[in-house]
Amino acid sequence: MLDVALTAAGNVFTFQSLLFLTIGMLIGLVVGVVPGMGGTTALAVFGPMTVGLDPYSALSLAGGLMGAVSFGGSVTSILINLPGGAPNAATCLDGYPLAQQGKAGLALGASASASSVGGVIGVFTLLLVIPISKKIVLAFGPSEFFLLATLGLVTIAACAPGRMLRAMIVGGIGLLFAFIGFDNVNGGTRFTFGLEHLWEGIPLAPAMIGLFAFPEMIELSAKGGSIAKDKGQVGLTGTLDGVWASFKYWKTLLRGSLIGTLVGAIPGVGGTVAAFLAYFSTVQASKNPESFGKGNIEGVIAPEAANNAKDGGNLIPTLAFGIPGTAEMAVLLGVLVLHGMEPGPTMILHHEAEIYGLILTLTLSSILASVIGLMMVRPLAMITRLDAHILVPSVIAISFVGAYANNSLPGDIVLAFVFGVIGYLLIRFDYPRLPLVIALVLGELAERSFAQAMMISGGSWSIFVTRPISALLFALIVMALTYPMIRTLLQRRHSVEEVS
Amino acid sequence: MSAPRKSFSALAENFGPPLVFLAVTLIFIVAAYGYPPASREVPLLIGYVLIVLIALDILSRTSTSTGELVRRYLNPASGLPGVPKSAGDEGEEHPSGQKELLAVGWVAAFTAAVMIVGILPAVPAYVASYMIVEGRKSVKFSILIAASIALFLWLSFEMILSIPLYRGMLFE
Repeated sequence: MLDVALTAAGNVFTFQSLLFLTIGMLIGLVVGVVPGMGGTTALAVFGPMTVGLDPYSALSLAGGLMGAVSFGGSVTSILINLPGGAPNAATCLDGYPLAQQGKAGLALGASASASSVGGVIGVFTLLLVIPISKKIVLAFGPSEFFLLATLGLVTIAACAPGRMLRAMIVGGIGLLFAFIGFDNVNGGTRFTFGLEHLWEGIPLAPAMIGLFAFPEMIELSAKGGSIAKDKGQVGLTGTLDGVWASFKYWKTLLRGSLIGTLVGAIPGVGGTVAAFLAYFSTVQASKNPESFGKGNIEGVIAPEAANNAKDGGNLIPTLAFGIPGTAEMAVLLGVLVLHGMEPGPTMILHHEAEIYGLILTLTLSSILASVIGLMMVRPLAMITRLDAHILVPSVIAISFVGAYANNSLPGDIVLAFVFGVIGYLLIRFDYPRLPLVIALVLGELAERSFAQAMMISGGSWSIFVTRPISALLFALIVMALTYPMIRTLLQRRHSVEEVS
Repeated sequence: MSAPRKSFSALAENFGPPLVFLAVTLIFIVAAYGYPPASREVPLLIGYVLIVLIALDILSRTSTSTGELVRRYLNPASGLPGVPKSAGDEGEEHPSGQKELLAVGWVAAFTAAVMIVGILPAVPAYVASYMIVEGRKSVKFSILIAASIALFLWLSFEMILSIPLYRGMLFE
């Protein structure tokens, strides 16, 4: 293994490979910053362009791009409450309040270091896990997938402090929206209400752009001013403190990274659940859970670490079995095939050096993308000081074009507007928006897994508690649902005792 | 007349949102019965669970003792003054309805312009007119910013990513 790793390192540390790694990182950072243009789109666009390159240069470009996209996405999450991709949505929860308090530099610094460390931990875990990866992936069946999707949704509801019921309602409505379009389980289309555009379902990018970019910009437009309420307080000097904060809260960093790697290894679940699970577990473990959602730096560290660590996890089923866990991995697999690597369990045997090369480029890009990102913190943080009347039309124009570009469908721009109005009304009437996005992401997986589990069990619901991992996930769901209520009860008792 | 009108608007603000959710859920439930049993199973399951949750939300908005109990354990932050909003939705005072409508109107006009004349003409027109009319910025500066954004979009999408930008219903 050491020989192969050294060969891979020798091929990666060439001028050409490092050049393509840098190009990939720069593309990843820019694409991550543009809302709706995630790593999948970027890989799909740039992957085929690597045909003429040698495999190491191609993998350097792909690895650089994948490693940098998530940090790019977190930049807009923190600065304008607009996640570059769905997994970055968890970073908005505390990142944006920090930017509003003039601590954008602190949040970006923490995000950069947490992304780096998370990415490195994810990749190293991948190296350790590859030999036993088959057992892990095969331990998850339809019932586990369904429960994992449910856990993702329940987690979001439990994360809405004081508004669990409302979060569950929004999540439920999001699930109904997720059922719009082609029915993957039984065929045919559902709930399209005569609109041809909805046959493919509700695309995530326009929905996310509408729900996140539009309401913030409407509020900013109506209020005037800038994102940072006190322009003089925009803290560009806290970047190093932010970098240090990730190491200060090392338990949060480690927890987030491990959750990201573990969840990333499960096909079909992805970074969104990883980031929110990491956030939720951090809130639960905190002695001061009320401070989350108001600008707690740990609320940035945990999801960022998980989001980057999930790339290492995602590669486990992709490389070990040729099962791409996410759309991004499916496109990456396409790039590997372009360079003569046949997907499947034999890939890791026949192309070990190339695979280790990819792992190495991912590690490098996780670190270097954050360094480059940190160098850009000052100009990026200035966004929060921009006059609303310049920022609003610019963000609306760029993000709506991003909504269109994902599928090149003009109807997606109208969808972004409709979801924007929905998002604004949700804020206006005090309902959280995040459960809607998460439900859109997980709805299809949840329904398909539920149907498969029911088929396997012959209609018996016991399948959700009799398998060991299912039982564990079920217990976690119950815990996530009841914990906020128990906490309220304990707080009330405590305050009654104090008064008496 | 003003007192009853005020109380009606307060009632609408309080019970309107869950009733809208209820209406959406009922539309999905009714539509679901038009599909084969296997296709409607999960949507119906979600729909009926939602009705229960919405009923609890409505109950939590009443001043009854049961409503107080539901609010205390499931929505403790709702309706209580001075309590911050949910995570990610950290808002304080909302701007006035007229300003909100105007802001939404600008985006609606931009969306309509994109659909009719396409992205490349609509973007600079929207950015420049918004900056001049709403922001009272100078015409020269507004046109410069608008042209820069249009150029950025054209370079990023058409030139680098090879994604042709929508030309609009008039020119497609």
